Amino acid sequence: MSRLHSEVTERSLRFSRMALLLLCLGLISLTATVSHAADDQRLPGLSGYWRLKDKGTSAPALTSWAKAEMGKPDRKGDVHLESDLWCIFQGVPYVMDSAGPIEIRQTFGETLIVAERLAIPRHIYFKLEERPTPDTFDFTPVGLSSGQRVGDSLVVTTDMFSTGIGLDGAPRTEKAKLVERLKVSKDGKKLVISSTWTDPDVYKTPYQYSWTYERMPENHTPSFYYCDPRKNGVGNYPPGEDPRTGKSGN
Amino acid sequence: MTRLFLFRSKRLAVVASTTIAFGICNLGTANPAFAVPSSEAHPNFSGIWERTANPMKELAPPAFTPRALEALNPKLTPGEKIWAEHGIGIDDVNCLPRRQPWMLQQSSPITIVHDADKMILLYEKRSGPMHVYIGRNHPNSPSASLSLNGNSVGRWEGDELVVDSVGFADYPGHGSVKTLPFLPTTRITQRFSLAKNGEELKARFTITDPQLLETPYVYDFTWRRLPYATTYALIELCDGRDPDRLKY
Repeated sequence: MSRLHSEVTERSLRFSRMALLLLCLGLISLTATVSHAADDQRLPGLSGYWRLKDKGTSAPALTSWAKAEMGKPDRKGDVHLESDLWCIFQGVPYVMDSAGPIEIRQTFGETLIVAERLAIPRHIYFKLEERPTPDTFDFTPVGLSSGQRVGDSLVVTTDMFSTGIGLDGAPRTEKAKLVERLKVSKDGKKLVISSTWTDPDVYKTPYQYSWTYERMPENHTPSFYYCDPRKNGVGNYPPGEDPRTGKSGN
Repeated sequence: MTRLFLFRSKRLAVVASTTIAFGICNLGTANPAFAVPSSEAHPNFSGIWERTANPMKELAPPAFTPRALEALNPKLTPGEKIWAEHGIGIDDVNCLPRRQPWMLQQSSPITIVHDADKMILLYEKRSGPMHVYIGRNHPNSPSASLSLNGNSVGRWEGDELVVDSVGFADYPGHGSVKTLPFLPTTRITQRFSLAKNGEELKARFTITDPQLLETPYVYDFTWRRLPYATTYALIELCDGRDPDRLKY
């Protein structure tokens, strides 16, 4: 009886140890799952093709300098006219506005926004730990963007913009900062981007507005607007062959 | 006492088994919104990739047709000859967009964003995105909508994504090989795969054009993954108004 009791106890102990080991493994995998999920910054429903439908009615409080710049004839809305003729890729806000429709694709490391006209792609990085400083980063028309999932929104912060054309022809300076909150409607058909621009040279107070995009069909095929400046009446020609002047190059 | 002990152990085992089963099922699907059914799971090529070497330098030249040889040695105008002698091309001075396959083979990193439906490849210097539609077929008339990077469709063969591109517009600049023109008969295929536990991206390029190449031109490229933690796209703008572009 005693021997039997001892064997049963030993089996039970082995069984318990096995069960405890399984429990630990299960907890480890659950922890990894939760950690992985928390690390995923992608916003469900955001990927796809979007067309801008409504820009709302808010208006900025511009500084006097910004108002004067806005009245210059070299721009039409957020399009720099000469850059457009010379087929120079433009940045934000053009990418999100006049260059559309836009396509948004997400991966674990970034969200990408590309437009169908000549615009620089926007990379919204989720994992960039060593953000460059203004001393080492060449400011660009799309700046440098980082993104983070906050509840049911993707919050994007962008700075290090180069000087250029901003919203509705107001200037964009190197001091500009943009915070965008992207939110997809429950039925997945609408994307609302709520934006806040701060730039002490341009806006007396932060400029907030919301743009609404509608989803386009999944079988949409984006076009690429091929641009050759020679077809726009500008451009460079081989020596002696400029149809406008007969002279070009050295 | 023994029975109670056994009962508690069994209960513990049931709880443990359930926990580990739940954990394993969810481990590969961190966000249910982005879960891919395990029967359809494929490698993901998203990342920032840097070329490991330039195999083009050591490749044997393609077998050009007589038409291709003529196209590679066009008759130049006097002005074009002056530029050609100084390595200046009409595409560079006017910042005309670059395209595949050339843009995928440069020393500057490329970015790939890849989900279940689409793969987009980017070269950040004056170029257009290469859109790959996964699971689609080419349009019935590819010539109806010619484009810079052609129409690219992808299909899986095991863990290889086979990307097939046709319908290229013939714009100035780099062609499928050197400065060959893009014709309706031009076809570019890349077979993408991952190696070294996802730290390398490989692609076998196959260029076919019976009008310009006697045989398909085949070569392999390898890229290494750059970490998202420390890497961002280096954007380079091109401005045709810059007088330095015309200096020689």
